[in-house]
Amino acid sequence: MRNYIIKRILLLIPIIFIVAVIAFFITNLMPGDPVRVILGNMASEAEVARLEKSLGFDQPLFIRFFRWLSGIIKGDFGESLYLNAPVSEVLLKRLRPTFLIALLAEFLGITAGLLLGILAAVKHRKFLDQFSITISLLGISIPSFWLALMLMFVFSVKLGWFPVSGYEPFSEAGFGTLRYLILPAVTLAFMQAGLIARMTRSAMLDTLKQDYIRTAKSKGLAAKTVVFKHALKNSMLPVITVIGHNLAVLLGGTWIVETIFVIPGTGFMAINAIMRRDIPVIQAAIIFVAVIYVILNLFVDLSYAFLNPKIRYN
Amino acid sequence: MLFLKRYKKYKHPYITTSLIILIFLVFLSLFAPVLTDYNPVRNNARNRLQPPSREHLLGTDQFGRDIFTRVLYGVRTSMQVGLAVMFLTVIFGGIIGVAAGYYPQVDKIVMRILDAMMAFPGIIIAISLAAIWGAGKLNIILALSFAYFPKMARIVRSAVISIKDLDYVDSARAVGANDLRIISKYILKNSASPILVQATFNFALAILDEAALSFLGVGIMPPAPSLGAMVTDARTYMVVAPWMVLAPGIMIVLAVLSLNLLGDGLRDLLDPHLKNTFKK
Repeated sequence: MRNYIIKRILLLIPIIFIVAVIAFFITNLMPGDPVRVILGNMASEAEVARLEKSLGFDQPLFIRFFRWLSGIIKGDFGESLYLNAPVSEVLLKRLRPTFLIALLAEFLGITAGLLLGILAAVKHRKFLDQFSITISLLGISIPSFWLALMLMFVFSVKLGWFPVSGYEPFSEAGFGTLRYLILPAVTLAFMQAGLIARMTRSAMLDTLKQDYIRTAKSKGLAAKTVVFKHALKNSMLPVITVIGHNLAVLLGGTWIVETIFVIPGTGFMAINAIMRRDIPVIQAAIIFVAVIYVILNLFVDLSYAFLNPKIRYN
Repeated sequence: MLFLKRYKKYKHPYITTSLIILIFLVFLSLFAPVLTDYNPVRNNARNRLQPPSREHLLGTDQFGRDIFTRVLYGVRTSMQVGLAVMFLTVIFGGIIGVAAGYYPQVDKIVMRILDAMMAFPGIIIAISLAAIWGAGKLNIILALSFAYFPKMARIVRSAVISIKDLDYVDSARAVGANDLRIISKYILKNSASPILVQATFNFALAILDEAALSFLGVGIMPPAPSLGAMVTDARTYMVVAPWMVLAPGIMIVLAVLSLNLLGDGLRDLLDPHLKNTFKK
């Protein structure tokens, strides 16, 4: 097991390197010269050249890449072109809302998804099964931005239960912060619940057909024990994988949901940065998402190996 | 065709439902010019924000354009983008997947790069690329294809790997078939099912993400009709014109839902073991 963990951690290095390459080159190919954007059209050539030099834009792309890479290894993502602050500081400040939304959404999604999936498998081909299939299909088919607007319209505009948009940090609003986060989290959770319910259902159906389940039933165990102790435990592997793989979808979703609900998280920051070509911020935001995804998936794989000894020895 | 044979035999309910919805949507998008007399992009300032009425079935938007008309043309845009992305991902993913699966020398490097690409959420790659290349239909199609092809490549690769060492491939090689013939005649033909299923899901995903990109303003450029951009407009006028938000959203859901159903149905039908989800 220890060797497996070490191997997997070492494998992260090339992947994160390629992630950095992609993030850097994608953002540096963006049209619109950021220097011109900052100075406006009236700037003289000399001014442009001076700012280019001070921002390091006069260097060849490759030199800039390695300079940037050695910076981020030390935690320095450069300076934002607009916010007059180091990108790492901006990112850290925006981390909490995104983190809270993702956590809440994942929690709601896993709870609802497991519940729907188990019910569907236990009541196979009954009404509850159909109901759960329908909900999970809707979950993966409804665009998150549209769902967000509908929820906002019903629960904020019409019923007035939640604020329409905006955010107050925990330090000011206390638990009132949650009021701003519930609708965005529910929006994202809906899709996660759909994905998780689908996988739970089919994994449970497979497991419930196994001989040992029949044995457990025939020796007179309560249905509850069979479902939760014998079947659910053995169906968890594919479900955990689905949760891990769809973290990317969840993190991508925060970009859209934060933009709609005007929540000052990393996603809102990224979309704004893209609109005004704030390249260092975009790079940091993209890398942030990818690295979180890679690391969380490492944990998923490790837990997989922990739960299933076959993988460890391969 | 395995698919048609199985469909005749089992009459999968998912596939029937989804095909009916899809044919309806294709009909709407193909015959949009016949089904409506209005122009989808021309402004009509006197008709601003009219609620649904006999003349305007779904009301009008902030420029006085008929929403029913714009929805029809929006579905057309969605279908075009979805179809194009589906074909492009099959082609790119197919080529790279076959190369990685069939030639172990290529495999290591290509898979590392694909692994890294899959660490980025598809929508984030697409937003970034659309911002680089500029908005517009062609750029959206390319950006989405670029975002989705790694997954397709992985699926093709694992299909190829599971087939390439089977006995019938060995015997084809023994009688002197070259790589090209083996790949096209034996391997691709027998790995068509997972590719078809993933292609259907990519179609659905492309419609969903095109709408999201257009909603964010980096997709289809106004005034060209796009369901996602219509939701952006609706958001601005949510309180005074709530009818604007329903129709485009429901059309997206219908299209994506039917494609997801179709993908599920195909997966069931083409699965050699025809397991749990349905069996007669």
